[in-house]
Amino acid sequence: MPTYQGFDYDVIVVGSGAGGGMAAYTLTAAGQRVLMLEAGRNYDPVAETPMFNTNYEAPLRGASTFDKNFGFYDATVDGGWQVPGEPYTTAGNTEFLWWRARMLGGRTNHWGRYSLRFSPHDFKAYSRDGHGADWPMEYEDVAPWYDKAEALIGVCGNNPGLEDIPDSGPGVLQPPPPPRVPELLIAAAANKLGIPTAPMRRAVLTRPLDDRQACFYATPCGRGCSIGAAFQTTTSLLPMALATGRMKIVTDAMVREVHVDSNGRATGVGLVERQTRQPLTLDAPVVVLAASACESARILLNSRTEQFPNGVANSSGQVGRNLMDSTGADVTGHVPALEGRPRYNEDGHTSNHIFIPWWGYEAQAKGELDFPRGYHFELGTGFAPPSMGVRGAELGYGRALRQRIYRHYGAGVRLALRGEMLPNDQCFIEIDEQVCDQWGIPVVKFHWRWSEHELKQVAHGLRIGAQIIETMGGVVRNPQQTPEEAIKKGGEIIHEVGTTRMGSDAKTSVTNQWGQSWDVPNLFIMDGGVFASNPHKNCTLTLMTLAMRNADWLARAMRQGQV
Amino acid sequence: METPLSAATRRQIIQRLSLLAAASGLPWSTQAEQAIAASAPVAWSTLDPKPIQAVGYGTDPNLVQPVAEPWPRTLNDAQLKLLDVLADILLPADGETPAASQVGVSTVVDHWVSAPYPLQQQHRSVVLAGFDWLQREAERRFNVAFVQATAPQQLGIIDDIAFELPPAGTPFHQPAQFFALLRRLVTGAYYSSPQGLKELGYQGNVPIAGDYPGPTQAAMQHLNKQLDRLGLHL
Ligand SMILES: Cc1cc2nc3c(=O)[nH]c(=O)nc-3n(C[C@H](O)[C@H](O)[C@H](O)COP(=O)(O)OP(=O)(O)OC[C@H]3O[C@@H](n4cnc5c(N)ncnc54)[C@H](O)[C@@H]3O)c2cc1C
Ligand code: SF4
Repeated sequence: MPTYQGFDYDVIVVGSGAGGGMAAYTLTAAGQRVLMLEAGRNYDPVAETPMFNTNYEAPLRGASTFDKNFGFYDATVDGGWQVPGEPYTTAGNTEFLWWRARMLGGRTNHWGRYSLRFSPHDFKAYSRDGHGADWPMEYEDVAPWYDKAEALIGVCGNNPGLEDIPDSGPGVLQPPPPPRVPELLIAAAANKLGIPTAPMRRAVLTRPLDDRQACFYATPCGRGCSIGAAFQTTTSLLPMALATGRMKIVTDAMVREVHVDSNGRATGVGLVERQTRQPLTLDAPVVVLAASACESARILLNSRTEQFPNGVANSSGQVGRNLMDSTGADVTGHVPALEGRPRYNEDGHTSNHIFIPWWGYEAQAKGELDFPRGYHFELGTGFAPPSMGVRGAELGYGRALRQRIYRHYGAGVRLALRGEMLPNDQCFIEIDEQVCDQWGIPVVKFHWRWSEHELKQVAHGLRIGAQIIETMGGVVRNPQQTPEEAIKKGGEIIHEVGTTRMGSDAKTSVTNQWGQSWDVPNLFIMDGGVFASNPHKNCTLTLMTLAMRNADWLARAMRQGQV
Repeated sequence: METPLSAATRRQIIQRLSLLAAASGLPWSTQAEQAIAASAPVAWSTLDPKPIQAVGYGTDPNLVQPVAEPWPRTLNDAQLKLLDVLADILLPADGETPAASQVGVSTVVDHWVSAPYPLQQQHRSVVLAGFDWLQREAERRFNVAFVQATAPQQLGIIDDIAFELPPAGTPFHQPAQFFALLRRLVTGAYYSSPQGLKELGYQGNVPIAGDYPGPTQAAMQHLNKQLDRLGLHL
């Protein structure tokens, strides 16, 4: 058994975010000893989260800047659309945005916590419509693991009996908070159009769980949650894994490559210690990559040797291919029916309490829609904490301006479309041979192009979104926007997946359904890279569910000496 | 319901007023001012302010105890005086409600335009060019600095730039863009202050023991009335 600083370990896990946190928790719970390598700095959400700080106290009243892209208080450390000293490049006229964080817990410290499980048809979409690829397993194989993962991380929501939202097991979900006034108005408008709404499922506790407290309905979750109500690995899976005594975490450890011997087995990893800038090689009987989809693919591609000139685990040529994000577009409007309405505390869990799930299955099956996959709308409404962005300040001055601002507060609505894209040949990553990061590691180069499927889907969403706002008597802010203008850039929705996809055939996929590399049997991938498709339901719950299922499988295989 | 007058209607009113003034023998200066106002305003000129040299707060600032002003403010006394006047035109005192200058709005706008970030630097050049335009326009119309002009004189200029955006290429286009930006900065600074929160009626950021209660009765009554009016049902 290899040793690092007096700690014996069976497995190296690279990355401490959603995938790595769940892999480490599951492995340690099953008795394995884990050395976790994390590129970012140590991070303590109890001490570092600015829970009740107001915009008033922050530079630029908390507004977004070049340094803090999602606002001063966003929990992201040393990251955002750029990481200092760690560039990425884009090919030709590609536009792609890659959000990263360099901190313990990765992007789980500030993610939106939207946690929607995939449906049975999501796992077999290729069989349904001939696009992309099927997953190598069925919904029924994964459903019990969804239950376990939801119960462990804590998800509030309900079982509305809709095709798009499969039931969770009895007692798994925690009660959702009641909707706010503008959300109810949207629900009523959608209702008239035959469109359903349902409580958003969020990884936010409304009941205490383990050492974590229930949400107290204040303090934006994007800053992190020092009481542990909003799920992040730094207040849950990582402390739980550490408590077993079977994990050691090494921060500031930037993994560069996986080492593979001539028999095609992984022997460990090579990394750069950020503090000393020194290279280090660590041996490992088993390596689990969970550095995020594009970073894990980068590590594999950078692991090339004479024996593996295309990178490790890449006999299929699929490493870096099939890059997918979610489609995104905003329909916003002003709703006079919400003007000047009675004030009350609308913070709730600081995100939408209800949303609009995909409802178009029947129409799609009947061939009535000109795009193949679904989307949902997340809702942005409410009496938000006042910031530099003031509604109703478009014109005038004096008393009329004051009155208008008072009336417009809480009268805006935003329907944020999140949709499924299809994988296509134009969307992939490769290594940019010309550019290295500050650690001397060659960087990722992105290639990206939306296809007509995504644009048609967005066109549909823009129409429906406008109808919903108009049904409320509202005015759509930008009714003229075309799908090309409206669609967000690749990567902008931060659901990048697919770059090491799983499948049932070693020729067309990188791993089997257990995240085990076809080529290197003691090398596993447990982040979003393994996605065979990217259903519109935000990817992270599924990513964690698969990490749990696959780490459990790995632990058993290790006990039986099969890996 | 307030229906903001469009710039066009306001200009018509001013023209009518000056005719009225002529007929009623109002002091000559007012007539003259109106006549001058109607003639071509001074041209917008782009300033090229020295770039801000300070550095930002970086990608890992202390969030729990933030340094409120990580870079020095840069506006001079005259600019701050003008800013106070403009802020109070935008948000004047009203009964119990303080004027914008009284809650330190100008300091925040100064802090904003002095920030070393690309967006704020762009705002800085628009704001400084706008100040310059206002001074020159006040001198052209009234032969005094903007802050020395009378309130009606000041509003005479502001009315030309405070309403819907005049088309590109027309003389008030850029000044109106400047004023729209200034309005965003001033209202943003004001309404994100404790006074602004109070005025808007923001009630959040307080921990709730137990479940989130949802809307109050009054809030639901409002909703139900609107649902009835719109013919909608939950
Ligand atoms: C603002 C925001 C909102 C989001 N909202 C949602 C949402 O509501 N629902 C949803 O499903 N998803 C959401 N996401 C996406 C979600 O955060 C990611 O899908 C998820 O965190 C991915 O998990 P991961 O483990 O693959 O990567 P991460 O959580 O990013 O963790 C990867 C970790 O690996 C480390 N690492 C990277 N490279 C190396 C290396 N070479 N060596 C060592 N360590 C390395 C990183 O520093 C990081 O800590 C959101 C993301 C953001 C930014
Ligand atoms: S709203 Fe609730 S879950 Fe979110 S950060 Fe605040 S306390 Fe935590």
